[in-house]
Amino acid sequence: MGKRMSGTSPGAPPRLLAALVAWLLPPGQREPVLGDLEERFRAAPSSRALPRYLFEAATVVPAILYTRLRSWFAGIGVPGRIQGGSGIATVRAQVLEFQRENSWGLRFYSSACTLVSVRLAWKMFTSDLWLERLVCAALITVFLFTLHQHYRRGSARTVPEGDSLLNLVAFHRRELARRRDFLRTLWYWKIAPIAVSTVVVLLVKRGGEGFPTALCTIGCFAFANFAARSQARGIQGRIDELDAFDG
Amino acid sequence: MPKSESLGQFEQLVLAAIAGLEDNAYGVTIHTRVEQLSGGRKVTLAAVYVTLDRLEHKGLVSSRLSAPTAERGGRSKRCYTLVAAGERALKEAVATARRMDDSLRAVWGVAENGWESA
Repeated sequence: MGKRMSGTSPGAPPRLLAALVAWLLPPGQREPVLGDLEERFRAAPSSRALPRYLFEAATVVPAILYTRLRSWFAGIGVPGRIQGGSGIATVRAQVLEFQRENSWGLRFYSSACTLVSVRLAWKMFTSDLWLERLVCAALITVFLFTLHQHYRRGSARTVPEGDSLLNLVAFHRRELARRRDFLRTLWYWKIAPIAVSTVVVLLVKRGGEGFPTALCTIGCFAFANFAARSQARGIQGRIDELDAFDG
Repeated sequence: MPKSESLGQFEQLVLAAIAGLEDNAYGVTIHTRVEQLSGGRKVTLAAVYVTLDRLEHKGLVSSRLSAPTAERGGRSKRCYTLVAAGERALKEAVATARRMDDSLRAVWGVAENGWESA
């Protein structure tokens, strides 16, 4: 935990708390936002520093996640832009940031998948109904399949060390293309299996009463697919920019 | 002449803060300046971040990471700069506010020393 100095100048915020905030924030925002929070923490009177830090972290994290989500759905603010006229160090930093953002998304999905799978496994082993056990097993298989596909198609590759600018840009272009294809194909290896299995579970468990919920579920997944396609178009825009840059 | 982005009141405050802070415009300083500009009204840091993100997407400001500093636990700042489109939009907002002010002064007959004395 952070050590406090006496008077009105507290030390660093609690490390555990800062680590939690860092884990929740997208990599591109981590440094500046944590720095801002820490600066505000140090500037506050010692009695108010921690409550202020807690309040600001609790409001800033959802706000940042909201901005990311909004950009994602709108297909704007697509990551992966390389600023022209930059040196190799800056370009490398931008490429690394794009790769880190992808890793963050994958980690987020893996965490969610693990939680759901553990919950389903628990249900599978404790349920007395064989049908429910079967459904849980099928759902776990679906989640593991999507997770495997996620790693295969969407995991970020290591940025080459000490390479020339052109090679770095070519690497980034390949990664952008991978990301675009990942988003374009999302519907058949991730959205469709999860949507179908969720709808089947709803109908099996609730019968006819589950129909409206099943319809809503299909709507939500269709929207997610629309958002992915929109993001893929944005990524294609980045590729076009790079091609123009090359030219 | 290209039509500039229309700005909300909070966006105007954030742009004005960035313009006033020049090279030292980052999350904390922008937040402090916005609170001052809004007449002491409480503003959350989260609201400032959301607005900065929106302004960046609108192409009115640009950002870059600065060198890390000790008072921030060795972390860098994201510094914001007004770009030409942002400056144009802010000037337009100021001109609109001025026109509104002139018009209302004519109707309500407000004293020269400010709205409070009306």
